[in-house]
Amino acid sequence: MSDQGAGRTARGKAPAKANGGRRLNIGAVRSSFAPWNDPAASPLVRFEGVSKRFGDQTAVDDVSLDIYPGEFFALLGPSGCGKTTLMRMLAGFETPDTGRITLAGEDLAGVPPHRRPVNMMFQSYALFPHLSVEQNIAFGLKQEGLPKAEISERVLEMLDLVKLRAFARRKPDQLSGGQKQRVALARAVARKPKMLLLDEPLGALDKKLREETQFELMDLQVELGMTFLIVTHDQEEAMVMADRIAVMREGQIAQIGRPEEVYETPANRYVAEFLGDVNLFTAKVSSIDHPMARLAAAEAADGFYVLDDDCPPPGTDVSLAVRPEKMRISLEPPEGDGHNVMAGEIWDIGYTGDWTNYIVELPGERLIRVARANASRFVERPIGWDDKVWVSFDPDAGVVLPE
Amino acid sequence: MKSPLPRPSALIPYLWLLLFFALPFLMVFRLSLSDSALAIPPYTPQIDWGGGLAGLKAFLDGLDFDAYGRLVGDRLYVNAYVSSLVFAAQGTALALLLGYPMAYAMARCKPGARNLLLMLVILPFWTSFLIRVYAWVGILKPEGLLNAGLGLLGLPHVDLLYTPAAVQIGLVYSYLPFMVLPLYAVLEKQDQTLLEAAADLGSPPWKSFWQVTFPMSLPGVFAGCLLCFIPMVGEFVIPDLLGGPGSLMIGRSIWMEFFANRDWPFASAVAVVLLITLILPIILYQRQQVKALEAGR
Repeated sequence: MSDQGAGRTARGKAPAKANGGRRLNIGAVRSSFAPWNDPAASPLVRFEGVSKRFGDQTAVDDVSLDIYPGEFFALLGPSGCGKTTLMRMLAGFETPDTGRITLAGEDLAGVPPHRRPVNMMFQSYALFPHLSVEQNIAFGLKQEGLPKAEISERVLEMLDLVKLRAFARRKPDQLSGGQKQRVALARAVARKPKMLLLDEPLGALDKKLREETQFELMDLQVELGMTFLIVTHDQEEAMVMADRIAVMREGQIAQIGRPEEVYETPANRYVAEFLGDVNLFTAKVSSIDHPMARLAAAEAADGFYVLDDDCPPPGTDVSLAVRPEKMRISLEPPEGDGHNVMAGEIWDIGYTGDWTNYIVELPGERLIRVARANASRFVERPIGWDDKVWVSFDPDAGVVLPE
Repeated sequence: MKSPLPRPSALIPYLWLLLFFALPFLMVFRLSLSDSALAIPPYTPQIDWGGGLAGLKAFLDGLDFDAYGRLVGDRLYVNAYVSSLVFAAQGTALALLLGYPMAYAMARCKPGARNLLLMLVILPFWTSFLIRVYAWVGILKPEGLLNAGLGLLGLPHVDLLYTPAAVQIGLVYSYLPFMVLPLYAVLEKQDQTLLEAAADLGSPPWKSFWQVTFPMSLPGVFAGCLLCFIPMVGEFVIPDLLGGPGSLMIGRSIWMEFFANRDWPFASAVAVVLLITLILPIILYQRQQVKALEAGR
């Protein structure tokens, strides 16, 4: 849970609009680029009711999705959620059973992979082992029958782009993992496709290199002005790079939104739990007094007080989701109105350097998680094992989710 | 720390080579320098082990290159070498043309079917080579299976037995597994994602075959060709059983010289020259194998 907002700032800032109607500045809003909110904008790629089955397994289940020109779009989900199948259908390696995929308004049905104006960067990179780096990059250009001079010029351009000019004559097995990844990238963008598909592009890299490459990919996308579609199971990767994320689950889309939207206003328990850590409280709406709602829950004697965004009518069973970093922990009872305060005991402490995660046991053996940034190097009285603590959160920290 | 001596197990291949290659070769080479004689064994000189150094000297004086001289002087043998190489080259090319599609189709089958097909390719080895070649006599003879089949289809008879074509059929049939197996091994290993990558980069399937599948299978093509070519050059059973007087092959000549003419020195000289002819392809094959091993590491 480090700095999810450290991404691009190139597109300026604009307040985000939470889906509850109330204008909230949520998270780190980075960009005013939002063609999906513009009714006049036409999507580059449109999935319409697309389904795909393999035997008795439904890989993709009635997915509709628009991706706009210039967007960096992420398909995020655990393995087997259908994200890769969705991408492979766009590349032409799988055929949808039902539904339609259009690219720039043109129906892709029946168009073989080699005639589709998209290029893919494969998870395994799929570099041709018998060809040198420059021949790999030239492969796609050769198929177009471009003149030799033009091909070599473009290959040099690509080699410079990925800083591999010195390695032009090497074979793929003489390269490191990071270099292979860059060759694969150069090969995929060499043809200037309308859209670049990236299948787990950073999966094989170590953590440091992965972070660097994330920013390189983002810069590259802006530089090339290309539309990127990335498939990943790594939420941090998706959050850092993407303009919008589609969180997938069992072949369906659980939620689509900007990273800060899916993180701060998850649509359901699945999204809340898949992205980052979350404490979920089973609750029932007891009263709504705009702008506040009161929820009855076992953990809170006088109930939880939260904003009434998207809150169903009183009597409904709901879940209250509160992120660990939005909770406060103290050795003394917090001052204030006493709402949203729970007393408990420290059960476990996980120190990661920048953050400390406290697992707090509430009465009834209920464990919750509280994260605190280690903003100062020294504290007067550190919180230790078996300490009695108070955990509290602000009314706007919780999200009411349908049960 | 460098160990000056290789481990004992590393010596086993050398011992093997010494016992089964170098020693027999030296014996054949020594034979080729001898002269034919009406004796048992049918050549002179023999080493007189009791004669000491003088005996050894007499033995060495008795050795000469006469057999090689006769070999070079006789057009028949030069022709036999050339025709063997031509037979083997044609047979190898035919085996490649037949074997590549076979291996390709096998490698594209479902894993279960692949094992079955692989079994079928190896199955002929369960029967004696000689019997299998004899079987071709039964197929190719004028009133044989082939002509019976052609007759049923209303096609004219062909007279293949004892022609060069029959030898070629026999060679291709016998050595086809040696072509198919190495080809299958490389094709089966090939990453299918590479073909997807080629398609993604704009290459239609037939072009992908020539740009990706085939160049990547070259080590297998090379291994298969050498594995067919080398034994085909020296083949003697097939030309003997299926070939006529027109299908001259050097292996058969060696056999004739050894067993029909009982001219052991001359037969040995023919064999030594054959080995020298084949050294180049054998070295090429060895280097290829080493390269393949290193690439697989």
